[in-house]
Amino acid sequence: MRVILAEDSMLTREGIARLLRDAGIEVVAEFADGDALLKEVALTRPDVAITDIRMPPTHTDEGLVAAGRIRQEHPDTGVLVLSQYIEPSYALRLLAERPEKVGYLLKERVFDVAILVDALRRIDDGETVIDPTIVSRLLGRQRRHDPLAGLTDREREVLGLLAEGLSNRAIATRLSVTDRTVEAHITAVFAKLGLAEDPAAHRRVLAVLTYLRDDR
Amino acid sequence: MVLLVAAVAAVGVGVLGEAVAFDWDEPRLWVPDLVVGWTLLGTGLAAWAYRRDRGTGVLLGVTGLAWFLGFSPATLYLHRGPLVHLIVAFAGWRARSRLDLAAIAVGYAAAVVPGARRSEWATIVLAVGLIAVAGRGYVQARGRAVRDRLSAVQAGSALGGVLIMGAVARMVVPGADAVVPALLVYEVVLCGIAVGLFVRLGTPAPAVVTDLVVELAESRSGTLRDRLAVVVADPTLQVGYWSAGANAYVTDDGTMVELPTAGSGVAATFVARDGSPFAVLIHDELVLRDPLLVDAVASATRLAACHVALQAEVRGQLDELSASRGRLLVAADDERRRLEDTLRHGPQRSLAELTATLAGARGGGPQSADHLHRAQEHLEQAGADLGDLALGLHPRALAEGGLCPALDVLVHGIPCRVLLDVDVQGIPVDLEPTIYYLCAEALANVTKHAEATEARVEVSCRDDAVLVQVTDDGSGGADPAGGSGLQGLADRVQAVGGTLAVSSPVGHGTRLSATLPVQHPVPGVDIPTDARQPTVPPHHEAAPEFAGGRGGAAAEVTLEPALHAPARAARYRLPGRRLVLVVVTGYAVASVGLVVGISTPTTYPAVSSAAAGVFLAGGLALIAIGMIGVWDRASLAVGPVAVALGVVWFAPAWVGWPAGPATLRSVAMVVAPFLLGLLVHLGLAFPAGRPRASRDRVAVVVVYLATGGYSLTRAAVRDPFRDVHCWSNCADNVFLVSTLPGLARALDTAWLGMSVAVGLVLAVKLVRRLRVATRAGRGLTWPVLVPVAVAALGEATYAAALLRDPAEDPSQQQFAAVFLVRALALAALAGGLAWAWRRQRWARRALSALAADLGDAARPGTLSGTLARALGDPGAQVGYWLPAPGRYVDPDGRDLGALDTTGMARTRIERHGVLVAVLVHDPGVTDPRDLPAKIGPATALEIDNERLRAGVLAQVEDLRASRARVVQASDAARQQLERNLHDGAQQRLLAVTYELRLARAAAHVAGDPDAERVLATATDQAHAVVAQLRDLAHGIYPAILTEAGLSPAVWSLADEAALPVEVGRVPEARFPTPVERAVYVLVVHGIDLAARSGADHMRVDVVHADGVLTVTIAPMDRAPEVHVVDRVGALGGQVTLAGGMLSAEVPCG
Repeated sequence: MRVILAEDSMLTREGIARLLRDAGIEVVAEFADGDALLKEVALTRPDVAITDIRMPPTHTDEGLVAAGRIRQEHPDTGVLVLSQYIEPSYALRLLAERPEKVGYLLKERVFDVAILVDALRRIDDGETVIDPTIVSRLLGRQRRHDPLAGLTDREREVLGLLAEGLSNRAIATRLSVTDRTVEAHITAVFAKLGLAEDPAAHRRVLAVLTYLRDDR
Repeated sequence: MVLLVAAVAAVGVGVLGEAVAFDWDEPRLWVPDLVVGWTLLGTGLAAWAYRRDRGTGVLLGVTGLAWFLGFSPATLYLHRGPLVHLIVAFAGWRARSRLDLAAIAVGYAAAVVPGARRSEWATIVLAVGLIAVAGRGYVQARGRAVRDRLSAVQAGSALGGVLIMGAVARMVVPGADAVVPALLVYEVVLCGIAVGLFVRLGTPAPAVVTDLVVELAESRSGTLRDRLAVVVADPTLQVGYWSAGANAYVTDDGTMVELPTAGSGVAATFVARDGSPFAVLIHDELVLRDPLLVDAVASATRLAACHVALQAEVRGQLDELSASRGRLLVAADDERRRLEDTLRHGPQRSLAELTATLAGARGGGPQSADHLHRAQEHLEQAGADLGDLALGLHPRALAEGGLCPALDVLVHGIPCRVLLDVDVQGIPVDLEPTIYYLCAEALANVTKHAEATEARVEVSCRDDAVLVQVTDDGSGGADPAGGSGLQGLADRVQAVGGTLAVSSPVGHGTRLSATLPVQHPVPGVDIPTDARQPTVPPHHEAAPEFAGGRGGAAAEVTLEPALHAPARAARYRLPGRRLVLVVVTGYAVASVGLVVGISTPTTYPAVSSAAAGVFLAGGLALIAIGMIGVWDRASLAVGPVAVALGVVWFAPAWVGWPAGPATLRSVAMVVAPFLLGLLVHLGLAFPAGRPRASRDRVAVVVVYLATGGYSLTRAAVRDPFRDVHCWSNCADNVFLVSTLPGLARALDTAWLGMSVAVGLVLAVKLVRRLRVATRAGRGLTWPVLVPVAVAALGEATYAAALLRDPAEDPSQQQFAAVFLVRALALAALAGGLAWAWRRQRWARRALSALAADLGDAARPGTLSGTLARALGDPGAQVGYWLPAPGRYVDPDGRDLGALDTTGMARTRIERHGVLVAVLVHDPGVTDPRDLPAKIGPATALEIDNERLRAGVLAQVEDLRASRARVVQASDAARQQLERNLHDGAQQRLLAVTYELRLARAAAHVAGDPDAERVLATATDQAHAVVAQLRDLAHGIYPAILTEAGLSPAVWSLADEAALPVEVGRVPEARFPTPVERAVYVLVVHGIDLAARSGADHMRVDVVHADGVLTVTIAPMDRAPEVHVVDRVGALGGQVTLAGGMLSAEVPCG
């Protein structure tokens, strides 16, 4: 797998690069800002681009902007966005623009090489990756009329994993159950929440996240 | 060229004129004649060509031409027409009033009447008229016109004087002897007038009338007090407004008004409103006694108070803004202190624990040790970063050890040498943060910009101010207006009432000195002004003190919305005053006839025509002025008394009418002694109309009763025929009941004795009253009181003379002298009354004009309109000059910048040579030289009012900007801190977790489970610190707000909230950072309030429309903290809590 990396903090950037190389992933190039990343993506067409959200020059949402453009201009290249902060808004924005081959992880999590490599592979496979912290924050959101109260613990667990972007199979593996069971759970959850079931895995992530955030 | 031709023509005309008029053999005649003509023509041409006033030039030239035409008797006086025109209309040719116009017309008319038909008397009358007209113009002139009118008076007086002298000379000296010298004098005077007026035209102005100076009316300043002081002629007048806060009357500059004590000659007039104390006027007790005048003054006071109210309102705004700025600073400081606290108890403590854990980690192989070593390095760096952050948030040393240790710590981090000279004695604790930040910012500048090798910090407390001075030997050139750092410091210093001065010459280092007052300034006293103010206590709370009339004449006025008004005046109208007028006029005419007709020496006027003259003059003048008073009691309350005095004065003439009816003579005899009583009445009652003290009223009644008793009894018992001393009427007494000569004589003696006593007492009393009175009171009353006193002395002397020599004889010298004194005193009294009437009338007019003007001008900011109307230029604009910042502002205090005047004329409006405002107007529309005449006294007052107001409003604008800067500076600082945290400690900690993971993996590979366990613990600890730092960073400044804007930030708040938060519509667009930040802070506080109040949910909506962001948070029943509201206020928005909903409107450009 070929990966390209943009992160303005040298420590983090070098750390990630080294982890990836140690894990046998080719790091094509490293950059400190978004513009260079875009140019390099156009040149080298990597499998996944990893980018920090906040980078020079404005230190605002350069990474997100770059991610959006990469997904639009190079649909083959996946994007993993890193952030120091837990912001569901970023995840939603990312998914809303092009809900496949994208991921959003907290920076501290990517130093766990297993998580990082897993995320990159999933993105490369066309799935979505959402940081569990974000999902748990959305699940833990205060609601006036909590529709999640009607779910069983296992259903809630399935919903969480589903929101993280895991496929049915991955959920089944994670929970050590059969694919069938997972499908049954998912059908039950969607029915209880009143969501229309969408066979496309990446679209249902957005639907679930949006549902979780929208307090009605 | 034209000029040359005109000059040659003038010479030619002159020579021609002389040739026709005179023989060449008589140079004595024609040379001066020619000189006069040429002078007139020359000055006329020069005025036309070189001075800006062509009208004057034309008139001078026409006068010169007319002069040369005066060769025949028919045209001899022709030049006087244009000459009079020139003088009356100077400078210019336009008449200023109808009277001027009439004077000019009369001048031309008189000029064409042939000399032969003129009488010397007519010349004298016309000359006097000319002087009078010019004098009137001078008296009425205001502002710059005064100078021109003065010239006119001088010229008119010179011309009039020489004409009168010439006429008198011709009358006195027979024949033609006086003609030639008189003509010569006349010619000299004419030349003088021409040259003098020409010189007075002044220096030429540039082609366009720009930068013309308009001097305002001569009142010293524009305050109501000064206007009233002029109107009531009491320079010591004070106006105080009731201040509920101070429980006393205060002047508009905040000083307490001292109420006068009895007998000081100073009185207090209380102005109440709806039964509550409102204002007080402290004045001479004599100047404000007329109820109408008091009413008018009260109205004017109330109206002016509206202005004061507006000013006070703006000042209140100023205070509020200033307080708001202070609150914002305090809130920012508090929050930083809190964050520092969080940092110390959270991340820093966890970091220490992590360090300890790592210190205990051993084994795991060399690779693991390598990673561990790097992790420790990163950890150390992270710890240092957090230390810096803590210092940046809030210097702990300041809280723990005070200013000295804090500055020591601060100086420690400065790369150049810093000398500390700090004396903390007397420095209050609440000033310490300001001093610290001042030094910190100054030293940061020194290191950043100045390239200094040495800096010096001096802090000392002297008297009631702390002086802070930071000097360096660096490159200088710091610009206080440029860098936001210095500006922020200035704001901070101003917020505690201090001042900051920066001196930074390029290449010579920088000196920054601040003076911080130890006692914060207290807002000024409140000035009650409006019924809306509920704080005014009931009058009785303050009343007992005043009720006794400490000020002698304590009048009380209750304000009514409408101005005093003619309706009030009707109350003073006497019934049948027309009848009184007819009867008294008839009486006066009859008296004149009688005096002229009697030739028997039975009366004083019959002795000589001079005696008749003064007798009639005194009586008629009294009756005339008295009748005016009867008609206009408001201006002359003692009118009826004066009429009675005049009537009684004539009584002896009727007594001494030998052929008169017996009844008439008898009545006149009874009436005549009342003269003394009337004098007492008038003397004690002036100017109010009735005596002020009850003692005085009793005295008047007693004197009247005594006179009546004496006069009637005497009439009943005295048979004039039997009276040996009888001289005036020895025949008739129709009241005679029984003849008792002894009693009659005893009565006479007693009466005369009493007259002496009463006359002397009255005179002494009046003189004392004048002595006790203030200057203002004296100035107002002496013209009446002195003649009354003299008349009283005259009566006393008269009575004394009769006591000594009962045989009265008008031809005897002593009696004649006494009579003359009495008559002249009465004539003077009439004059004095006339003066008093005129003055009072003027005062009332001026007051009602002032009140009406104030009423019209009650709305500030309208002056531009008024002036624009006066100029006839709707585009005229007024810029007020604020000397302190040195700039022009509009009436609302907005900066006018350099005031673009391209293509416009500028007229400077000055008061006593000091620039007040500049009027920018179209040069073509009008002549601004007419402006002084059009600017009335109230407008002048208004200009001052408005300038004051503009000045305060400008301060408000400045303060508003300063407040916004305080918010921005604090936000910027926090954003910077967050960025430092993000780029520093947070990345370091990530690196620590990274190295620890690697170390742990290496230990795993090396098969060291102990090391692996320790490293696992350390990794968890490091993750905990990362999470804590994330929260801290979010608290310092929410990154998502900067990164993604308001909508994600609000959603993020809803995600984390402790209660269900429904996010309605929130615009996705980006807004200016301060706006986003203000809305964000409001929502944070809203959620916090709702959570604390136990609400089960809340909803947030943000709507963007018409450049305003409207935030609504519901349900909400509590207002957020003041500094949150201040933040919105700093952006020109407002926060309202109504109907269970908190809403804020924030302008977003």
